[in-house]
Order: sequence, then structure tokens, then C-alpha cells
Amino acid sequence: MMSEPSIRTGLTIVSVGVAIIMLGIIFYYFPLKVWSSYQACWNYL
Amino acid sequence: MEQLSSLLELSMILYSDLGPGVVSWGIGWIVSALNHLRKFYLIPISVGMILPMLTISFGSPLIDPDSWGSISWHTLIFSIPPALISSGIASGVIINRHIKRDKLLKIHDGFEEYLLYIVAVGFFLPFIRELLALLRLVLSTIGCWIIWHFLSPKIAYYSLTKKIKNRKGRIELISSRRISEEKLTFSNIFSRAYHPLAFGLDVSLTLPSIIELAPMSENIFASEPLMKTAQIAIISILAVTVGSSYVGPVVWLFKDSNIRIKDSIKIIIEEPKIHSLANQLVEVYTFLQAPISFTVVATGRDYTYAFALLAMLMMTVLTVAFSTTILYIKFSAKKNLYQLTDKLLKEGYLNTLP
Repeated sequence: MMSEPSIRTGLTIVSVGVAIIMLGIIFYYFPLKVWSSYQACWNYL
Repeated sequence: MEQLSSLLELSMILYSDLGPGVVSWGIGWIVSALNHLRKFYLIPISVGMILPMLTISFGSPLIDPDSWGSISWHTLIFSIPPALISSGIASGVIINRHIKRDKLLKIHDGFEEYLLYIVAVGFFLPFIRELLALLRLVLSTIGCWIIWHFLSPKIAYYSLTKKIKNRKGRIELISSRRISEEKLTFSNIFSRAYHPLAFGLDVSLTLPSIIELAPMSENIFASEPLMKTAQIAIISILAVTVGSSYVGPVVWLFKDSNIRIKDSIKIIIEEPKIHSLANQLVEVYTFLQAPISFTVVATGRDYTYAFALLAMLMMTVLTVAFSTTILYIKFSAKKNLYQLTDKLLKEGYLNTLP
């Protein structure tokens, strides 16, 4: 059974949401950097 | 380059759809957690309902292609409200389950009632720019409530006494005098507003499909889908106003009065019912199928257009059905209930159980 709504869980969900927005903004403004570092990681692996 | 454009698309989804949605879900969860017993989970639900209406009515300056404004417009309608509503519903379900399990008592104060009034006013917001449309809706709501107020106890009385007269001596009405007065709560109003809404839509969509079969019917309805949907919306509102007192308030009167029909030959006791044809018109299947097929056919299978028109049709009829239900339950339900049972008792149709 799921636990009752609490402020702590709510704050965790909000922080996850903020992180997703930040990630989206990083992808939007620095796509080339993200893409090249992804490729670098992939090549390294 | 292809990967880069998909990365940009993904970023759009993350910062304008998914991210704000998750944040709003969390905020809804926090608000619901503030007070479990006072149904604070209704706040995110109400905000989630009012926010798109506010954006539609006042947010048009935001619509500007290739700008942050249109992204926020999109977020305010399609991302934040669904998240707030679903968060409120989810926390409401969990809180109610816990309250039931721990046998706690919910606090009933004016808070829920005021929220209902705010949501009802919010439904009228998208029409605020068109004064004539707003006036039509307000007048339909008031007219519908007046008709319900005066007609429903009379129809309920007539349909109950007719049954007794038709089957002389075979049936009698019994009541334990346990009258249940309905409170103004979200679940109550939404479940009750469904009846007039479904009836209005189904009647107005069945009627044109029959009329359209007749020759020379092209002149009756406009061929343009938007005009046609607007015509259907007006017919629906008329159907809600005039016809739905039979499927709405009469059914509520039967239910709340706790009157039962006792058949002494079949030896059964049953609840009074409305005519089966009227009952068919408020069935969930017809309610879902009729408007969807109508808009899809009217728009020539242009699904985006059909979806927009369907939302418009539902919104218009729901505005009237919702506000009328609130007005009826607030001002008329109790009075009509006592009026019906007193009249049945005085004229000897109703026997009370010891």
C-alpha cells in the first residue's frame, strides 16, 4: 500500500522535476557539447 | 545532424512538458499533505481545472510562434493542469483509504463548497471574451435551474402516482422516512452533473443523425464543422435545460427520498426508476461514443480538428450542467425532497414503516 502524501515526498518529486527541466535546458542550449561528450564517452567505452 | 535535432526535440519535451509536469505533481502532493482531514487534495484538482481556463481566456498574448510565450502557453494547458489534477486525485484516493482504515472523521466546513463555486465560475472564463456567448450560457444555467426547481417534484410525483393508479392495489409506496440530504461535495456534484450532461449530449447527437437521414435536410445544419458543432452545443444546452429534469433531479429525488415500491403480488421491493429509454440515453457507452463519432464524421476524419471540437462541445455543455447542478443541490434539492414526500404522505400514496 502506498504511503500517505507527505511534504518530504513532495519535495523529492519537485526536485526530480527541476532536475528534468535543467537537463532539458542543458540539452537545448548546449546540444553540440552534449552530443560531442556523448560521442566521446561512447568512443571511450 | 539528425541526432542533434532529435536531441533538441527531447530537450523541448524535458523542459516544457515532462519537467513542469513532474514539478506540478510534486507541488500537488505537498499541498495535499498539508491537511489530510480537510481534503486539501481538492486544491490541486481545482487549480488544475481553473488554470487552462485562465490561460485560454487571458493567455492569448502569449501565443507567438518561436518564442518562450507559446511554450509557456502550451505548458500551462497541457502539462501543469493534468499533473495537478492527477496528483490531487491520487493523493485523495490514498488519503481516503487511510482515513477509512483508521476510522478517522473528515472535517466538513465551507472550504470545499467555496472551491466548488470557484471551479463553477472558472468554467465560464473561456467565454468571457464573447459577451453574447457568456450571456447565453448564464441565462441557460439560470433557466435550467428554475425549470428543475419547479418541474422535478411534479414529474417525480406524477410518475410515482401513475404507477400506483395503473396497477391498482398491486403496488404501494413505502418509506422509512430516512431522507438523505445531499451535501455540496466535489464527488457528489461531478457524479450528479454527469446525468444532465450525458442526456443533453446524447439527445442532441441522436436527433441530428435522424434528421440528416431525411431528404432536404442539408439546409438544417451547417456543413462547416465548427458551425455544426456550435449548433449541436446549443441544442445540447436546450436538451439539458428542458429535458434533463427527468433524468437528473427526478432520479436524485427518488434516490434521496428512500422511497421503495412494494409489489404485493410479485412479493418484491424495488427502487423507483425512470423510463428505460431515458435511462439508455445516460449510459456511459452512448455518452462516450456519440460525441466522438459525431466530431470525427463532421470534420471529415481530421482527428486534431475533431479533438478540438469535441473539447469545445463538452466544455460548453459541462459548464451549464455543472453550474445548474450546484444551484439545484444548494437551493432546491432539500425543499423539493420534503415537498414530494409530504405531498405523497398527505394524499395517502406513501406508507411509512414503523
